[in-house]
Amino acid sequence: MAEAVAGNDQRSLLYKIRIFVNSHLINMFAGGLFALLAIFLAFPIVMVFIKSLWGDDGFTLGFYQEFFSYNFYYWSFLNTMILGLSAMVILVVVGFCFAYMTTKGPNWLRKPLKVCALMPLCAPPYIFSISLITLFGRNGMVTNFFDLNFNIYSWTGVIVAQCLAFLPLSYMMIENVLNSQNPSLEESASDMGASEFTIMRAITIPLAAPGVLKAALLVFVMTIAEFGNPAILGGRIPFLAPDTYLMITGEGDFNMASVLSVVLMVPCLIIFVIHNYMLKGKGYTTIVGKPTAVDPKDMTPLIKYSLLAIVIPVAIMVLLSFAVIVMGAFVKIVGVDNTFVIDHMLNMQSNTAIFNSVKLSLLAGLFGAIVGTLLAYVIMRGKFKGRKVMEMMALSGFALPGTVIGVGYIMAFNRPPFLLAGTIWILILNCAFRFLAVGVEAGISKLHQISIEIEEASADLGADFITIFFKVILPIMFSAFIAGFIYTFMTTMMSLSSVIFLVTPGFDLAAVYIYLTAQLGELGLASAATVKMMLIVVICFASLKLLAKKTGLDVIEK
Amino acid sequence: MKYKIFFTVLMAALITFTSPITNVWASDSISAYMGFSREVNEALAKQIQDKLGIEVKNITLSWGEIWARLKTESPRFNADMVLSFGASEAINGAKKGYYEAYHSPGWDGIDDAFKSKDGTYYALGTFSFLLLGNTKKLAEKGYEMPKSYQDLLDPKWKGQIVIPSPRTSGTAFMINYSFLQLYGEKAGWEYLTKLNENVAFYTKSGNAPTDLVGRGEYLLGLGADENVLKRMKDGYPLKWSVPVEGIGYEGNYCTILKGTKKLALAKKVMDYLGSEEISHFLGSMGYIPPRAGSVSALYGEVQPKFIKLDHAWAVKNKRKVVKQWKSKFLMKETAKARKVGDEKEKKAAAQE
Repeated sequence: MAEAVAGNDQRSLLYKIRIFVNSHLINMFAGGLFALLAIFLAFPIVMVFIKSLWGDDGFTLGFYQEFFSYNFYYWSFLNTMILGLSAMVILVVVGFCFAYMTTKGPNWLRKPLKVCALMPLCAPPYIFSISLITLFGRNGMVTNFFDLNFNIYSWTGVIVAQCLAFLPLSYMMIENVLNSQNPSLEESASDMGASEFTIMRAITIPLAAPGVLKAALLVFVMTIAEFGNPAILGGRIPFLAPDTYLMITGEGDFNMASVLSVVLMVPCLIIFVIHNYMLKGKGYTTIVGKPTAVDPKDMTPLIKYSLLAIVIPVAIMVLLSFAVIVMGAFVKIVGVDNTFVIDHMLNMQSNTAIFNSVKLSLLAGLFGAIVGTLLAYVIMRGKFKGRKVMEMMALSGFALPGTVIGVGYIMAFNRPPFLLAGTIWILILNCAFRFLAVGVEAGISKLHQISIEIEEASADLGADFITIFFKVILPIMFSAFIAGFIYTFMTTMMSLSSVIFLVTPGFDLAAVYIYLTAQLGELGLASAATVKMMLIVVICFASLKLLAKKTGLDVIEK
Repeated sequence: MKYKIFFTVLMAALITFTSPITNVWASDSISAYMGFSREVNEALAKQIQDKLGIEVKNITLSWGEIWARLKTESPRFNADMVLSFGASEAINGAKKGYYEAYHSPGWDGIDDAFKSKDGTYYALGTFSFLLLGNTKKLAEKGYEMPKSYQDLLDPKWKGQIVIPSPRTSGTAFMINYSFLQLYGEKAGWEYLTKLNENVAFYTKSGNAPTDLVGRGEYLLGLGADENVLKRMKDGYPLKWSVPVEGIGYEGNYCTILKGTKKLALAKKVMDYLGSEEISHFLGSMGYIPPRAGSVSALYGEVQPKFIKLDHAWAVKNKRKVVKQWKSKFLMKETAKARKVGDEKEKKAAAQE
């Protein structure tokens, strides 16, 4: 009898623990995640703020004063804004044209155009400055062929390079919007005799507007934060992002670099607020059930040709740029001595750099996806105060320029209690937390679709939280997990602006390697490394897709 | 539960890919910030590994970058050694106590000009800047290679010259103060202002002009001599010359960083760096090495004409010169800003 009681006691202790875990697990997760966000996202940014106000002898506004009294900084700020705005306008138009052509255009054109629009994804953004120099430089192939007098080290060069680099971003977002529009709306308009132009003006564009605006804001933020192209092609024009980098690497002036970072952050945060408050709830849901497949209509010739007039040159530019990169990888000196060599491809150092990148991207992707999915769950299902703050923090990663986070990380994690500098962890955490937003957003929207009743029902049937988590929640969130993983993986492979501050001897990364070799003018090595990197990305992507297909989870297809 | 299969495969891939991460670095390796040009860094690291069996994990950085890293990382450096940065970095760092003092027996018999008294830094060699031209493009235009720096002011070169920017490049700083010491401070700045008219733009790296000129983007450039030899061998239509006034020069210093856990290995490397072999090696790369008898492959037996330089002045005035350069060629400042800047300058000077 006594034994049985003891056994019961033991069981009840275990049971109690289990009950406790069940009822508090979500709060425990929330606490842990909050701590992670605070340490790895908020703390570095706070460090940047402090550094911009804290000189060698205490609090000072002197650095801001310096910023406002040199017109160099003023120009730098203005140029950055002009660059962001012009890239935004151009990319919205071009992205829309591409998206329109691939969703409503002639069938045989859709696939090739889509490939062209997405191609820049598999190479770092700044490789376009390499190819633009080879093509349109003062001694470039095209320049020489047509005997042009053209200066690529100028506004034109920077804007074109940035636009090519971020075309996939705007294209993907706009295409997504156009795809989710219910074709029956346009169908009925057309049945009632509206011309394609009227439909476009009165239905397609207004319905797409919130999504397009979102794409525009994102493009703006990305173009002003990316510093590769402006640094290589900028010539004498100052921009904030490369200036921040030079402030640190060139002059070792962390205070001024912090000030520039804060200034760069201001427009990004404004956009973040706009994005969060003004666009919330403005999306027009036109999906009622599955969109019915409608036979593609022939486009009105006038619209078709005017869209083609925009799309074709851009597609040609993309293809040419990649052709030059591939060529550069296999010839001695592209444009100067076009004899075939294999040396560039065999360079070992770039191989290790690429291997390191893959390693880092996998780890960051996994880490980011796990944290992102959990965050989304906690934010949606938790019942505690401050969920909104957590959501804001998690999503702010995308609005913060990479340079700023990179600077923040070196300042925050180089001394105890968080001595991470020099380890791979600083890189992993940096990438995982910066690119968290996509996983979190995907997770939240997934959970919006699934009513909490499913979870409640299983709880009523006696499943405890842990079972529910593994049996119900994980399967639901899986596509969000994958989305977060892929996004973090891809961006970590390509991103330069923040990891360049954090790489250590012996752990070169491909994106940094390509940037540095390109800047030293070794286009052969840079091109070869890019080609290898592209191959790896394509292979990774293809195998992931194959895996998804084999397992019947076609979640990658966006 | 198909997602489980998916997940398992993903995890398996991850584990196979990332397992080497947990391995501790091979014991016989040191890490170094390296500030030569990239191919020299790789070759030097390989040379050390072949000879000593010590792997040099390295990262190529500009001198400014190395200095910025040392400043942030102090007192916990993420590298064991610095192989090559400039005099001002070496001297200022020694003052701040960044470097391990070590009297290396490997450096016996080398001129004292290449060593610091307390053994905190050593100069692996010196390099210079050169006037570079693109032979093809010059011939096309029918221009002669300029003989003197004054020839560079000719309006026909407008927008045809590239020069590195002293904000980021050690070479550029050397170019700058070489002119200041050649012509005297006042006339030197006047010369640079006039030259600025013809400069297309200022590059971030001291090696970049070699490439831009080599590829025919620009006709002329002033740039580091480090990668000129290699580029000419690669087949770039490049041409270099030493103008009649001479060229400037600067040491390539190396140090052991304080607090390294691999002090014994670092000392071994340091001893080896003073050897005849390394002198010979750097000579073959085009540097002027410290050991007598090793010849620079670029300049040959006859040393080029050098501008007489006061390096101590350069080290002391680096901040000031860079700031002046910035305000002259990069940003126009208001009167108030000048005052703020001057105060900042004074404070910095007082600190050092």
